[in-house]
Amino acid sequence: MNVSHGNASDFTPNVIFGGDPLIVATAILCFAYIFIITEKINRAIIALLGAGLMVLTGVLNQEAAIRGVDFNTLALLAGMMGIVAITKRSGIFQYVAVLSAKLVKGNPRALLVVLPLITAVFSALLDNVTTVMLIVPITLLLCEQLKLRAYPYLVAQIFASNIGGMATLIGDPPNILIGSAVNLSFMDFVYNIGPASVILFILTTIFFDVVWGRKLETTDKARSHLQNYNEKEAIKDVPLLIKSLFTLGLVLFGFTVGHHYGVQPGTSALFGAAFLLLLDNIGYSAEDQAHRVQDALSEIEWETIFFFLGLFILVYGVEVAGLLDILATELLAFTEGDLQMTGMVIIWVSAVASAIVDNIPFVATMIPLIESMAPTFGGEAGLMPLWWCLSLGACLGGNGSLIGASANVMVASYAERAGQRISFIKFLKLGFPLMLATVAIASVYAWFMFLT
Amino acid sequence: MIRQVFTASPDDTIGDVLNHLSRHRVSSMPVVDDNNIYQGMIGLTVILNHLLPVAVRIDESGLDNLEFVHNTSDAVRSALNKMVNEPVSDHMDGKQRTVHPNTPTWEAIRVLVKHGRTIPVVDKETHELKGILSRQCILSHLKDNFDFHEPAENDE
Repeated sequence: MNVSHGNASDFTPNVIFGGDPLIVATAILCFAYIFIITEKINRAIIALLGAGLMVLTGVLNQEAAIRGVDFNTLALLAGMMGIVAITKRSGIFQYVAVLSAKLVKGNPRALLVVLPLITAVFSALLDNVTTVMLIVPITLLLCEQLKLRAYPYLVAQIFASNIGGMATLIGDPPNILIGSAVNLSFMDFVYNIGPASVILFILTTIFFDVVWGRKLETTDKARSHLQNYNEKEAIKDVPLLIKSLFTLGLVLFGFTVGHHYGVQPGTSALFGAAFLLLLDNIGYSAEDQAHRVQDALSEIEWETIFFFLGLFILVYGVEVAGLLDILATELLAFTEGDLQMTGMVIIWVSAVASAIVDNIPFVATMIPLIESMAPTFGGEAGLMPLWWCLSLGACLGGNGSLIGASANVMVASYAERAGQRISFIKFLKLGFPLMLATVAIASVYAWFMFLT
Repeated sequence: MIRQVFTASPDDTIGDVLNHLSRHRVSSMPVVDDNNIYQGMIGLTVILNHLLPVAVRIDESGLDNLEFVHNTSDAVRSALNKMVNEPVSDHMDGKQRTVHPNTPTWEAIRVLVKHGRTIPVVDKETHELKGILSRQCILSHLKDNFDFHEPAENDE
């Protein structure tokens, strides 16, 4: 069921100078993609300009453009970002990382398991970019104290964030997009993709242990130093911690149960953010409240939100113009309407494409394309295997290069500023083959779970 | 404005600067080249910041609490040892806000309040260092022009 997109047939394009809407819309989308891929101009600017052009050229009008926007996704992203912006002030993330490091007594090899594990779990429950922004600084601190190279840990965390994020509806942007468009629940993802996520996390962790973990060494002095850390002092605000965890619990409850009562994840997340803002501002003067709310809301990554906004309109433009129907027909002709073949093509094309371009625009384009295959596979229910293939391919593909997912870019930029540069080529040499291996395993998983 | 100021050269070491700051009990000094052209500021804020772990320094979203890390004297000592022989040019702040000799008082106060305790005064055209502006300079200026004990006349 498509919950947010309007029906593409309810608007007839009226392109200026009598142009062909298909050609105009395709040209706008292609130019936008070229600029997004080359990264010369910020992606939000491109998406918004492209969206504006879709309306100005008459491919869409304003009402149609707004129908194309998936507000559930925007609300989910903004709500979770707002909740994390407040929660992180409590120091909970440092607490968990330091506690885990102490539990393994600063053993570098064990740290290469626990730090990615924390990353994977947080990535499943929060946005990936936010997770790595919280976990990378503490990783750098631990590495500096233990006199270890941060590189193995940061690379393992990139993989963990993409593999962990794959397990839930809210963990990774492709899932948010798919879940919102197809009205899948939080638990749908946990049941269907969660096992693959666990298997792949274990396998990549073993891989990293073989490649790096066994060779990592530190001094006993540095390790004993780490044991002197007092993780309880990382918690800066206990009341805030309680309020935040209570709200996060409430939101996760909303994600899991709300689906049965027609409550969309966007509503749960944005309501949770508003509720936490309320708890965080009770007792403050009106002026203080204005400052505190402004500070919290300004931490929402508006660049990402506006990028999504523009992208939805861009993709809706080509959908209305009929491009995606044509592509879907071509794809089905290639796969001869065979579900297994179509699933495999989707998983592999998504993986490779997501390694080369940001997986968000790719998935946003693929969703209406797959939706238009419904008649071939016996209606919307018949498309379910394909949605899981898209999710697996797009999320895992993000590991294929340093620009494959926003979280990778974030880790790379932190590493660079910390003087521990992750080279694009060096990452590609390791990441791309490893990504292909994970996709191969995911294909086998998808084959037995969904396609046969 | 203070015209007689101690300056550092980009080739001086951080150790030289620390000795100088400590001897003259100032917290920062301008960096100029051989022709007295302004290059940047070097001061305790920048130097002390470099004694912190990289996890704090990366940007505003780095660690904002180190209370839980104990026994850090060794780490501070080794960071300082590494830093003392490095040239000023590696650490100076070239983006520090400057004012020029004709900057109006209001703007000078605004820059001091917003951008730091010591502001270099630089010729607008030639970028030659003319002096520095400190809070005390503003206080002296106010003292010369206003009587702090007499209420000012009401403008209205």
